[in-house]
Amino acid sequence: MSREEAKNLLYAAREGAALASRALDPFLARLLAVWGTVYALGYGLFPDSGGAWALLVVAGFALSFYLGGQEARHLRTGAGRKLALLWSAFGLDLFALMLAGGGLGSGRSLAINLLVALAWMGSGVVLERGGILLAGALFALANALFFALFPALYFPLLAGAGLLALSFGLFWGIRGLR
Amino acid sequence: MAFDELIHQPTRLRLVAYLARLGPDARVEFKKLKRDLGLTEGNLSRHLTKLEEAGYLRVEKGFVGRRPRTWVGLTGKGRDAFLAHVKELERLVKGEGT
Repeated sequence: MSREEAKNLLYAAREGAALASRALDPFLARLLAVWGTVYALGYGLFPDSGGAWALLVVAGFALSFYLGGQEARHLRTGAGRKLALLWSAFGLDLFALMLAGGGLGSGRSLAINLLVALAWMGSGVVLERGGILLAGALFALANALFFALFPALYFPLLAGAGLLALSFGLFWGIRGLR
Repeated sequence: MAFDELIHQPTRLRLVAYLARLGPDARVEFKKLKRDLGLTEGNLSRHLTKLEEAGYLRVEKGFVGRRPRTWVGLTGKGRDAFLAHVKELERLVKGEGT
């Protein structure tokens, strides 16, 4: 076998591995669209309503786990199981924070959003996807900056971030289906 | 020398690389595999049969609801053969082989 032929075969192997590393992308895109919608609606329309937020979060988690269950019909991996555990732990933390009482408030929102960022960063580590890890880190940084520099605009900016996540999730999902 | 004639074929190499990247206990449904790898049903079936006969893959048939499904996963033997084959290709590219 020639060196050139071996190179082409290695390229084929890398291409196969790259396709596998993107196997969960359609699911992640849907997840991003769901949570982008939760953020856009929650922070855009009901920033101070604990009841509306509780409903949105419960709906968001129910939909996320339904989508996860649908995905598991096509693909089961160790990384997928770790992802389910990680997001379940995040969900429990979130509910604990919400059950602690009081309004959502920007301080509690910051704590929740830093947990969200941590969950996305953890997902990036589990899936070995630097882009997702970076997105989680940028989300944490943007939250801290919004909170510190524009406290009055914190909720509208988060609603905007939700719309951005929704748009990106839809774009990512549609592109991934091609 | 660990060239594996079965894995050597580019489509099978891509298929085995895909399964190896998903991890040791992963399994993929036939239709997803077909879609992700951009193969036709017949083409994918032929490659799966050859790899299964060699003991490189396990193919399980079952039902989700009332719909029949076929699941595919890489065996330990398949993973070892793939890793050895890739190592050999890398050695050749580095100019250590002929």
